Amino acid sequence: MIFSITFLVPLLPLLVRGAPFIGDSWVHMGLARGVLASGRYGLASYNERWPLVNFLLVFLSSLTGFSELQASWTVPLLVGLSALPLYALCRRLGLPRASALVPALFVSLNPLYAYVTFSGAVMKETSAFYLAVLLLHLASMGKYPSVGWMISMAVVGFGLVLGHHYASLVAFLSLWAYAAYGLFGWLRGENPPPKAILYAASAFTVPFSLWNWLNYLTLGAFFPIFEASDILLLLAVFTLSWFTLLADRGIISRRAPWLASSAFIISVLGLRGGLYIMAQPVEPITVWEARNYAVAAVFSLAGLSAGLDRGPLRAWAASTVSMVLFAPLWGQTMPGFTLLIKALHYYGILLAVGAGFTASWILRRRGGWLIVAATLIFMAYASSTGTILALNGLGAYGREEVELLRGISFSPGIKLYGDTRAAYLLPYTSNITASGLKPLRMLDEGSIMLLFRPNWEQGFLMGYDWVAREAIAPEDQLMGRGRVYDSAHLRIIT
Amino acid sequence: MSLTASILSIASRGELKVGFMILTISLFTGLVVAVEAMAQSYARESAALREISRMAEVKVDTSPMGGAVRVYASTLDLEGRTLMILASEDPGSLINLEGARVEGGLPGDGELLVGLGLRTLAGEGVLKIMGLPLRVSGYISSPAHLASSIITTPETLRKIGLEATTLYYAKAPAGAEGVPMAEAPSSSSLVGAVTGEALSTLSILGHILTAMLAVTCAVQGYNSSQEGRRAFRVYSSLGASRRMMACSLIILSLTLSLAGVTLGYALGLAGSAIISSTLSLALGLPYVKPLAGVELLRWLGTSYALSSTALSIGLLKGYRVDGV
Repeated sequence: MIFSITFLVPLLPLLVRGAPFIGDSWVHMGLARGVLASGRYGLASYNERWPLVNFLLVFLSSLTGFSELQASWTVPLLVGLSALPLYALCRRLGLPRASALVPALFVSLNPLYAYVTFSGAVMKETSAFYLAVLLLHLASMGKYPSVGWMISMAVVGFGLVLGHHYASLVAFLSLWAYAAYGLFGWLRGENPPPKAILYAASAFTVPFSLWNWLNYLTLGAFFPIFEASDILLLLAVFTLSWFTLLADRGIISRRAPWLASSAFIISVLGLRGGLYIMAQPVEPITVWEARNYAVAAVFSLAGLSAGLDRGPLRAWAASTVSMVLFAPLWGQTMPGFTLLIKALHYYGILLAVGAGFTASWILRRRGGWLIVAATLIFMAYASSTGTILALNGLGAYGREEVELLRGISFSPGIKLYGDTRAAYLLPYTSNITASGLKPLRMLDEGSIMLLFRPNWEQGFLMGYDWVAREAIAPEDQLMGRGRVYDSAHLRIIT
Repeated sequence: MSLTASILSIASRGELKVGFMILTISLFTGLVVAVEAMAQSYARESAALREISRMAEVKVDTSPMGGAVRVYASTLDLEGRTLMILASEDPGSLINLEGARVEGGLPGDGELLVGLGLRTLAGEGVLKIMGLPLRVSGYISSPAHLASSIITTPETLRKIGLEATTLYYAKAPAGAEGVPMAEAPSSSSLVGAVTGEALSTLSILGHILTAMLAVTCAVQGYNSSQEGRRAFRVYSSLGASRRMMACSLIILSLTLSLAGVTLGYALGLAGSAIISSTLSLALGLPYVKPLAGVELLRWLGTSYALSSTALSIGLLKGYRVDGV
């Protein structure tokens, strides 16, 4: 039942709305459709340079004969399947069976952020998530390397490098953190020389560096918003994070992972505390939301120190905590917020494993199963608000919108305006591009504007920023305009 | 090799006072890194000040030019700050001309596009100017010279009731010298001179800190050798030659220096970023991200070279005095 929940949550956008989450999905499906039609793959654009998700869609479509939209179901399914390596990892870290199931559930029901916004999307990072968890699991088996282990590491590592820059950066940092902890432990006589993980980290570094360097030469950036100075700052934060988990005891040690706790506070501040300067107004945090965060923090962080005795988890903590801490240090604007959201996907795994260790401690007490079950039910309740909001939010698409747009043919050369939702969907459904977002009063004669239901109900997306409905299409102006098309889900205004 | 591994193993368990040595190196290096990174960052910010007085990318004139954007410019005193307010019928073109990066939407009537430095004044997305509440449509995150500026529409400017000067902004021809709209007190030469002076003063401070680091390392290395003399005697009695011991101690000092400098780099860079970020949140100051560049790497190299050399000298001297 637990695994069915973990498989189900990422599929919610497809099951409930009939379309994948977030606009990027249409870009990848469009690319896959183009490759299926032409039989050629270009490496020109940003979304082609990390081709795993595109390859996956093309491969599955050609293998099964399904359309790329049907094949796209596999990406959220793969995210759901990452619960399996996560369970295996937890077992390897020494968690009993019942406790090892808790992290798989916690990842899906984490109230810190709406997991469905990531897992329900068809994008580079989502397709690489399964590999990131699998790599962590494989790294935990590094003490007993075999030929099979090496081949698996090579395949998964290469897939990750081709999958997503940020995911591979987290893996890169984690592998080196693990190797460095291993080296230090070896010097102290605690473990044999960490040869296997050192080879793995070195081997991963080669394709990681080469592929990203090639992409840097092509695109002019490793990561769209990173400068060389930012990478040096990230390395500084990572070193600090690694160091705080090095010692066995003391204030700065793995027994007191205060940096991991700080990362949780920073995440809450970033999401709800006005840490970032954004156009979208953030409602003040309520007592009930604070309660949800507090329960999640206590449940996930209380047992974390017990898990940090294990090298792989400590290495994962060093890298993911540093990614969370780095996000606001990069800058307090929208791109910094995007970095925080990205970091939360991987920090979420750390919190989940921490929750597993807390559950393991509670389950050893009388009536512990009742407390764990109640906490998990509470998590499901606490995360449901965010999930429902996301499923009905501006980032979610509906089957009706896609079908309606597919059924409309636009005259070539027509000037068409719409927000980010339209900008992503239009090239996929109608093979035309939107000319951006314009206030209705500034609409040129002969041009049209596309409004989806969430636009007239909630507002518009400009880039990743929310713009109030009144700023673009106030009700009085909307009523005074001609309508080329009017339905419950789509309006086309002249 | 096994002797070196044994000594490193002893060190990794915290013996030979390595904790103090690493702490000393990291603290001094951290200070140098923080001073250097923040100084470079402020120096970069100061370049924006120069842009205010001489900006060759945009030509500003009081007479109409071909392809120019008409801008109504005015100044405004708001909560003790003097702000520049620019109004244009086509704010998008003005933003493009300035090469500005905007988070949010363009301003409509009754709306403002606000420089990032003014975000603390805009509570809950509304900025009150002369008693008039105006919605903030977005923020200008760059360039820095627009951090204290507001862009709006002429209609909104009229509603506020400010008198404005009509200017025409156009793209300057390639290689053209900008016409300075204001020379003093923020003229480029003055800003450049002050920045240069501050950087050279901080550079002297950096040199003093690295010199102190070298002396401290030598003393600590000496003390550490004295601390470990019993262990060294054991190795000697097991057949380790003086040359092998010296070689191992040099490798130890190189390793400790590397650890100390790496930690110092992390402390200095991340610490200064955390402090600046916290101050930004607590006091509403602009967040100045420390700038790590080639100059910083040069300082790190210097710290490493000096600390490892001084530590080697100290360790070897202490080992010899002991007469093993």
